[in-house]
Amino acid sequence: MKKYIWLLLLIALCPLKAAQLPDNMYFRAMQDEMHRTQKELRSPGSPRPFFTAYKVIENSTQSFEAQFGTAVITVPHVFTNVTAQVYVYAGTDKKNSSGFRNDAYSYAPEISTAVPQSYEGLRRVLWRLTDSAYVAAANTYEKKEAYNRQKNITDVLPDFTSAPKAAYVGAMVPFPQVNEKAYQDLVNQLSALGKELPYLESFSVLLTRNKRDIYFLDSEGDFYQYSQPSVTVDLFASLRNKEGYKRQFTEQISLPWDQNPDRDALEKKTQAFLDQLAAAYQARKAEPYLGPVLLEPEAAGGFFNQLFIPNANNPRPVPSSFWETDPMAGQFKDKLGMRVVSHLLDVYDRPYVREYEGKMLQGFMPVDDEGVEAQQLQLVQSGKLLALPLSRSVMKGQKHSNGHARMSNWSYPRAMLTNVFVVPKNPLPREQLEQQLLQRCQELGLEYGYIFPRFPSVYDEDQEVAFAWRIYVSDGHKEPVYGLHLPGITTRSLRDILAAGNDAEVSHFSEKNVFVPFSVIVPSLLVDEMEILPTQLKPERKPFVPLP
Amino acid sequence: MKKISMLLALLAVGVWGAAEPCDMAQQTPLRLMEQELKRSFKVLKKQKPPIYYLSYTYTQGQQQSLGVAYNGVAFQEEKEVSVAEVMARAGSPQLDNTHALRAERENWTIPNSQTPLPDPSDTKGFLSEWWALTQQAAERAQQDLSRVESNVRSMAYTRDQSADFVFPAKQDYCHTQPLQQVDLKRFEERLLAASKLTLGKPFVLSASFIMTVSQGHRYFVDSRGTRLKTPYSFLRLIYQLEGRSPDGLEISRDGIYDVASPEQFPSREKLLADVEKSLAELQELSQAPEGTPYNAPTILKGRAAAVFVHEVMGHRLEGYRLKNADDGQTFSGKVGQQVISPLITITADPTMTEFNGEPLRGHYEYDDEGVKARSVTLIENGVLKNFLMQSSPIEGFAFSNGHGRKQIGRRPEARMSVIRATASETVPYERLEEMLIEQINKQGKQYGFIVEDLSGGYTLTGTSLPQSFKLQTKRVFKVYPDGHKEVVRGLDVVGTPLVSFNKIIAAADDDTLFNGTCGASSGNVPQSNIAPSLLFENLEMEKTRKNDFKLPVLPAPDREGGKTK
Repeated sequence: MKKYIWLLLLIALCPLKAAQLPDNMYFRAMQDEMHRTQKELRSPGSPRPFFTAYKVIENSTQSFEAQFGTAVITVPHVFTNVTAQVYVYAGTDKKNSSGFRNDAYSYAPEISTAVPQSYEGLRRVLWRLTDSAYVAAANTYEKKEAYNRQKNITDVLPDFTSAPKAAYVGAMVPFPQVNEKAYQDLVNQLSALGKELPYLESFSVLLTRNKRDIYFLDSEGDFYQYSQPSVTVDLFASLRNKEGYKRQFTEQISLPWDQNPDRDALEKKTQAFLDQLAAAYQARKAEPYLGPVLLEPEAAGGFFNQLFIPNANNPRPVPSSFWETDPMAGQFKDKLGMRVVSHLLDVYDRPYVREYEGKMLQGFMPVDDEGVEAQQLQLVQSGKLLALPLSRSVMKGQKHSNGHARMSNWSYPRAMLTNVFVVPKNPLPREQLEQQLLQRCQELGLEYGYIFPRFPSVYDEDQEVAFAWRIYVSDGHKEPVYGLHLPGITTRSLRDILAAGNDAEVSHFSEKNVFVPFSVIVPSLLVDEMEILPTQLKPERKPFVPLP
Repeated sequence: MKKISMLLALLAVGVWGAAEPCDMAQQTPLRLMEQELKRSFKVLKKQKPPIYYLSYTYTQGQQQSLGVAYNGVAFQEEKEVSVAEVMARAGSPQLDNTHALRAERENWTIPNSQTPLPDPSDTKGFLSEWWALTQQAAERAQQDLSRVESNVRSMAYTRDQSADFVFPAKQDYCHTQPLQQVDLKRFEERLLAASKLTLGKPFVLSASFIMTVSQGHRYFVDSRGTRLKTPYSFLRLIYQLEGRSPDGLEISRDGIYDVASPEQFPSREKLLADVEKSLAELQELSQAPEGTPYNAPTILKGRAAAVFVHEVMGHRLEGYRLKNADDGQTFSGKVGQQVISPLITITADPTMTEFNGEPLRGHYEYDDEGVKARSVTLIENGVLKNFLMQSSPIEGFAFSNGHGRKQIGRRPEARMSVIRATASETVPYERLEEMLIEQINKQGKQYGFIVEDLSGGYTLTGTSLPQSFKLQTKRVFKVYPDGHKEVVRGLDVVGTPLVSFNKIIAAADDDTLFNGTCGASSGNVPQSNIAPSLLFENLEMEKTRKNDFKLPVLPAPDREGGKTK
């Protein structure tokens, strides 16, 4: 519980509302072009711009990569580029172009990914993007009107609700210089550990230092700026097991931004990853199974990413003549007050939280992309759905946004979660969870149960767990297994959670369709029933020639 | 549809210093590649079907780029390039996996490393990448061969029954060229100053100034024992100024500078003067009347003539097209015959390194199949003599003449190198304009045309569409019988090759180089074209496609009082 106290403190200390628009090149250009847009941008016969927003991101990246102990040829220079996103809604507060997909345009802001770093350059880019966004908005307004007439839609929700002014000015951190040689040596050393496994077809380590400086301004005077730094180490391996099944294995390790990497800790994590690969090489093929599964924290993160997050996101569908039903609309929109998760869990969304146990969270967002102060939400209490993320395009029964409108290069702002904390009422240590798993297997007359280190990605059409542990009821010993196909996992599984651990970890994800980043903080979860089938994938032929 | 386009704004020009011989034994990448290739080939040639030929290509170098616009840096990047490619041939030289497929997805690509290769000093890492790619290449070659075999059995008879492959002669050549130290930061101020000239100009919708440096070495080994190391070096500065007329016509002017060393990039003064000139031309274009379709005597000047030769004639001289049943095969069975105006001779010479002091991007020492580059006369005084050949024979032409070329990830095909059109008789350019006016009067035309510049063009060689060409103009003048000229916009040159090339009636003595990048089925390859200005008895002009969108509602922000903040 202690850790949540400091989180609350952090929330309380956030410098909301007291901020003045910072005086920097980005805001000067955005403000000047915004004034012109508001004052002069009109096209005869078309509705006027009603709401305009500019978001500018200065992105700096530096990477170090090595494979099997040797630097992969790379220049570790810091690469910086600036992206601008612009959207315009045309019409009035009652009736405007927002929340409708027009066939002729994608449902996304206008973007430029190579903005010149000068006042004049940014003004020019904003000018062109605003013009295109306005043309698209005016066109969408007419199409939306026609759609409403065609579908006889009269009982319409407000298009874009009002919201109090919001602002946030975070400190902009510089991109620190590091000892490049030391960093390269570190990734060389970590990747050299892969030499111990002669059957690995590839093994590389990529350390990425990234910083995103984000600036936002809208036509109602809302604004924000903050830096979002991150340091990650990605491990990539390719392995063909003895039966010819070839799989890629990856793991991402988040590091504190402002400290030198802890070499020993990284070595341990890399070694643990390699140990798992060694087990995967020896693993036996899965057999049909129906029973309890223990999801380790990373797998539990994937489980929530697949079943909870997409269903809680986007509670108000975006209508369009392009599609009859919005494929991104979450299924929980009609389930407020109903049990959607096991009664053992509470679930929160905390956009204000910046880091968790030294790891930067990807959903940090003090003000959302419609200029609304982002609010903490208790999404689930004892399994019951209490709230959903809302944008200014609210769902039925709601009056105002709760500051969860998030946009990306691929989508206008839509209501999406940020940092999702899954909090068990009675967290158990790992040993007890395993005991509970075995006990449940025994009750069901099963010889063994399963422990998943990872869960299939939302992009994995085969829905396969590449590697898992089988744990035997008789003596608790574990055996590696590969090729576990999970057919037909549904939200039912969220309600089948029997217990949760005290080992919460952060997992980072991007929304499947529009790549908005978010984080899930979740402990190990014991799920009562999952169906497993042996992989349907065919093994690859043996290589003509053995590895060099 | 086989659409072949000539792109202006790509890559940079090949530059070659004096050959610096190198010790083959010291070339670690070659040694390792050869080692792994031999180890693999020993096994692969015994498979069913056999892999009968294998080659490895390793491109190792660096790329730098700097992009500037409106007084700001838009991007600056430096990265190392390290790409492995494996080409495997399954079956036999008579019929292999590269055989042109009919009515089916093409088999154009070859496996290549998607991420940079480990440094060759990491023997295991380096060799493992080649091993993995070889496995992929062999599997894909076998799969493609089975598609080819079934395709050949089920599809109609193809006239040209030549083999799919002829083994290239074994080569052993090592040429190292130290990479030039290019500090792009040095040029930043120059580009920023040039970019400032575009501010406050209402007719400029967008502008970019880009400097690129791409240099390194290419290593090649094959199962016949060839070992090659050759350098490449491309340095280019390009600027592009774009506008749009109120009726939606895109207009543009550009400047391209291909140089051999950074010192040869244009000085600040020259660059600024050139940009000022281009801005004046863009403004003139933005106010110019729209042209109407017309067939009239025409001069294709300098660059425009060079692009014309490339598009209209060059692609039809690429040998592999003659055994592709879906291709128009314009010159099939015409060797020894007069195919174009007797005034014109066309050669391909990848051994040329520069023209009038400007480096030629179409130069290379060995092609992408390891065949030594050589000069070829394709058309002599209008008579067809030869084709551009890769190591895939066609009827009457059994061997490669060193024109097998490709971009990374594609398999080689016969492509152009340095294409040069020369005329047996020439006149000064001024006289060519007088001859144009004589033609206009003779034919009783209201006016003729001078096409001064092209943005590119394309030619359709497939049989499913009209086998015509289109050249996209950038700057065209109407020339009236009294000699006065008027800039017009919105016209493209169209026609068919055999008719158009036979309409050439005179040429000037002003041979002009156009360095570009050509994108056809084996991908983007650097390329050079040299031609004199050409007078045509007539050429047809048609309307250019326009943009659907209006001009921006508001003027550019830097136009307010002509000032920026």
